[in-house]
Amino acid sequence: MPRYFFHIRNEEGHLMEDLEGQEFADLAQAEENAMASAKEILAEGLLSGKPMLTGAIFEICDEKHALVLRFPFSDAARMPGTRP
Amino acid sequence: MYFLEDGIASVVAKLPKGRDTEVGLIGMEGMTGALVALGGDRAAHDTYMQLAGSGLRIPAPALSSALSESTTLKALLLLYVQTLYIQTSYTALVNARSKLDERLARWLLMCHDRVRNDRLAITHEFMSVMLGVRRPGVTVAIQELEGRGLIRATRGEIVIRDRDGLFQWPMAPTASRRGI
Repeated sequence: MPRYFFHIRNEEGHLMEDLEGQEFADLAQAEENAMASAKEILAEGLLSGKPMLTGAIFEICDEKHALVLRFPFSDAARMPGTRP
Repeated sequence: MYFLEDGIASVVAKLPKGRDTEVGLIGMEGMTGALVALGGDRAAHDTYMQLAGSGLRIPAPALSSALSESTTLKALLLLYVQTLYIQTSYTALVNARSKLDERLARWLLMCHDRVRNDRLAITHEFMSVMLGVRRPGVTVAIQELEGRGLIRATRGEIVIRDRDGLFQWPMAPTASRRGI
């Protein structure tokens, strides 16, 4: 299975790097994980009383470090998707 | 049943669709299958080694008969069951009330208690199962603790840098909101 790296780019442009990556059957599965993970991170932050990463974006890269998908956290805030 | 001398075992409760979560952590202080000390004959959950180690093994019936012959052995193992009960009740508390970064800080301290150095060979993927969240959420929480200088995270390894700071972390949310 291909491995995808879920880097997070925050509002200020700072990149939080994913050093390990995670295997998924295909990009669609990786996108589903991005949706569920973003929902979870947003929820976790909101419940902590912190300002939230609604402007953050998952920059998903493949094993060759090529950017294959950008997934804005704002999509996770307004769209239905897999439950975390 | 295994009496660990090294390494860490996790008791994992299962939900369908891989929504498993850790409900017990066992190291050199304890044993797997502690319910035998209470007279039980089966485990409610599965137990996995999460950090490699070694231990001493005894079949459950042999331990049961030893327990019926030795009151001192029984008293000792019941003492361990008591500590496990306390651990589980605090796990219930933090799962209900604490945020992921706080649960992560507690979990890292519990692992650190059970190893002989400051380096924990664990992946983010593994921590995500233990804490019952998706992996990117763990990465965010790790960066938060790392940003405060409490740990250092590299690929497949967490180094504990400030144990006292991790202890203080659950008190920290108010301060961190003010950017202190």
